[in-house]
Amino acid sequence: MKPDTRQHEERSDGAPDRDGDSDAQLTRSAAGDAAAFTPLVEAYSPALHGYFARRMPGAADDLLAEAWLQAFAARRTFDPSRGSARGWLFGVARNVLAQHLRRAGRQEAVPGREITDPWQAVDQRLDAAALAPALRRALAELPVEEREVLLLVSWEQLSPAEAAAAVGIPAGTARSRLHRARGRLRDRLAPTRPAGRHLSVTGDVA
Amino acid sequence: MSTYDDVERTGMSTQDVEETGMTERAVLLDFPGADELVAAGRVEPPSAQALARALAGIEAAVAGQEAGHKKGAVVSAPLRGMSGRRRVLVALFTAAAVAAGVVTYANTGETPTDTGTRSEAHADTASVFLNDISTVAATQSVPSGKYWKMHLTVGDSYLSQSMDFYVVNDGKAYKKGRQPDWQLGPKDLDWKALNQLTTDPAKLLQLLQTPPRPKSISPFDQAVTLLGGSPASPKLRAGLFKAMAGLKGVKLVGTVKDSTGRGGTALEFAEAKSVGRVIVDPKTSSILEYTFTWTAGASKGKVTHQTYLSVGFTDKIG
Repeated sequence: MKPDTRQHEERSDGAPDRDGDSDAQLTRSAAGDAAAFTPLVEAYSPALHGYFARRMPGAADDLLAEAWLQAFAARRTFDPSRGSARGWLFGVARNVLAQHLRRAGRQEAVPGREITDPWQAVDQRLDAAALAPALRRALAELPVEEREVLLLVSWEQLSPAEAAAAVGIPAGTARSRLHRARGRLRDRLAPTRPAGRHLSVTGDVA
Repeated sequence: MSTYDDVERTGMSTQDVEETGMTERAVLLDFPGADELVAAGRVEPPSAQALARALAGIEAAVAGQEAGHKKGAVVSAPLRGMSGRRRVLVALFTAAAVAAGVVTYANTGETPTDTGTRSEAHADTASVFLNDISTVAATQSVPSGKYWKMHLTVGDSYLSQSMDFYVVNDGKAYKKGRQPDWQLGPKDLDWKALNQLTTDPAKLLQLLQTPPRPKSISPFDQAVTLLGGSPASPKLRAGLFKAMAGLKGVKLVGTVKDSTGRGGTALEFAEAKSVGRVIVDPKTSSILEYTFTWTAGASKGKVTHQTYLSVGFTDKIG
């Protein structure tokens, strides 16, 4: 799979021009310059904390600290030719969340069964935000894999390629999951309209 | 530094918008209620304490790495061609190791070569850690109470505001006289003086660096004693941690376990014939353990521990 560099060039949000730097910092830290890792903590903690806060609000601080320790310990598994530091870090965060959910649910840790769904907490958040019941129901009915990618893109503002890296799937798969999720939501929520025409199309967080 | 939650996303070029009428992100999220969903995902940015804690943890890990610690198994998985399943297993293994408090570092190619700059690098990471832990200390809740209770491995003790010292034995409290004042450079501080002491890190550092009086303990030990064994306020503790960041010779050892198995971050300060080591809980800034080791002279090799199981205020003895 070719690295999706286009996504990085377009980005001018939180860590805009720094994404390239971040990749380099992570690579350098993996190559032995451990101190090169520290700036990543400053750059990505807000985003990673947000990820945890949305899915496990009571444990976000703990999970953030844990995610960084695990990212540091596993920094050699980062391969810049396979994606950005950002996608990789969210992958670590996702593992940390999954471990936490398994522990919390006292489920057996079954290697290979990768999806541990934080839907309950997410649904509570949607409820608290007074999300339209129809939308909430439609989200609840999405397949777990599709919903995960959808939330990574809409909440974590990841590109499909980054979401793919985080989940550990090819970028094309992430794109098609997202596509299918959109289709399902449109079907459920606006069955009679031509897709997307009447909608507010800005994805910006106002 | 930016937070994704309060920086407006402007990731799409205006050209995209002109050509297609929609930004790429809008295309990705083109479904009814997308805005509502995005809005429902808004969260507060992490607290300064959460950030400081994350940083402190990493700095300790970095320091451990640079000191060439090679504890435990080497986790060095081949990067390419590793299946998702294996990657999960590696992640799980790493997690288990972290959970068990065992720091595992891959050590390939990590042999320190530039020994000349190593101690300087240590001083730097120690001060960065101390500045971070200072932030953690400052955000602890402000306590109050008539007595200062210390629950140590060797027993419980209580200190009154007038510096009367009590120990509890078999459920009975015994008054053991007056506790000596805490030493801080040229000052001797009782409880009252402690409450009136400056919390300014620069002034505290100046006090710590005052030339020693006869029988003075090291500035490191003075600071640690106040941090672990005194009713210093969160603000004073924050100031003391910051002041320690300015002390020469303080080294960050990394993540270790204390004698009761609790994980924390160790700092060391060597003197001519001894070395003092303190283990700090990076989550709370609490002092977990202080270890004093004679490194030369007649008592060489002799080690004493002070292990703080808990400290805090209380209104009654027992």
